[in-house]
Amino acid sequence: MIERVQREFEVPCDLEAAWNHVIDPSWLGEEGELEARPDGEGWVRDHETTRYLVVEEVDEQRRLVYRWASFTDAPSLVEIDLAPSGAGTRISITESPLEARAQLVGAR
Amino acid sequence: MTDSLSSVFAALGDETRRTLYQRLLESANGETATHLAQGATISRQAIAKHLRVLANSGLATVRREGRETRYVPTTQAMTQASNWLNEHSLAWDRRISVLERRIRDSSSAEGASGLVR
Repeated sequence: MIERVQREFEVPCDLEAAWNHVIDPSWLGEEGELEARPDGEGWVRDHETTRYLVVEEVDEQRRLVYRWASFTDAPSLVEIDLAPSGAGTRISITESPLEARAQLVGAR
Repeated sequence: MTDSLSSVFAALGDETRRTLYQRLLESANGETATHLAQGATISRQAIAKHLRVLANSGLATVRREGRETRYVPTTQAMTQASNWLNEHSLAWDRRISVLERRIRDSSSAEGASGLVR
């Protein structure tokens, strides 16, 4: 049994272009906003669900980590890593469930 | 729900516990640490400890039988965990195809404008 969702794939563009696509959160749903800096906040609307994001880690063009949750969906941690691969970029994504943490409910 | 989900994943993240959970599922009415320890390479105490982790994460219920504790498997927590995985797997497949399409479209757009120029 796997405890997390993991995906790895390659895209035909360089790191910089791939990074710019990754930090535009609209691919995560229908629309959204994201401040790609540590403690940056964001949201993604996907059909009737809106998820709220808090960025944990940013390593420009290399790694983006955020936690997100909606009012109906349990909070989880998403890690997105980018690495050059030939002429393209390899992207790996991991999502794992998080324990409920008070700060997700808007301590800031 | 959230806490139970992550504790189910933590409980099943250990190979010994996965095997023990499997043994519980195969049993007609649960197992005791003593019985599971027969012929096992780890001690009864170690098995009892793993069984308590399974019980704490909701993967088994505990029934006292005199000096023995019988662990009976439950599947509800497991079902919740696999539902989580299924839903989130599908969601990522969908998101990744959106991302791939966008990247393909924008690189072919660059190529097209290069031709026009």
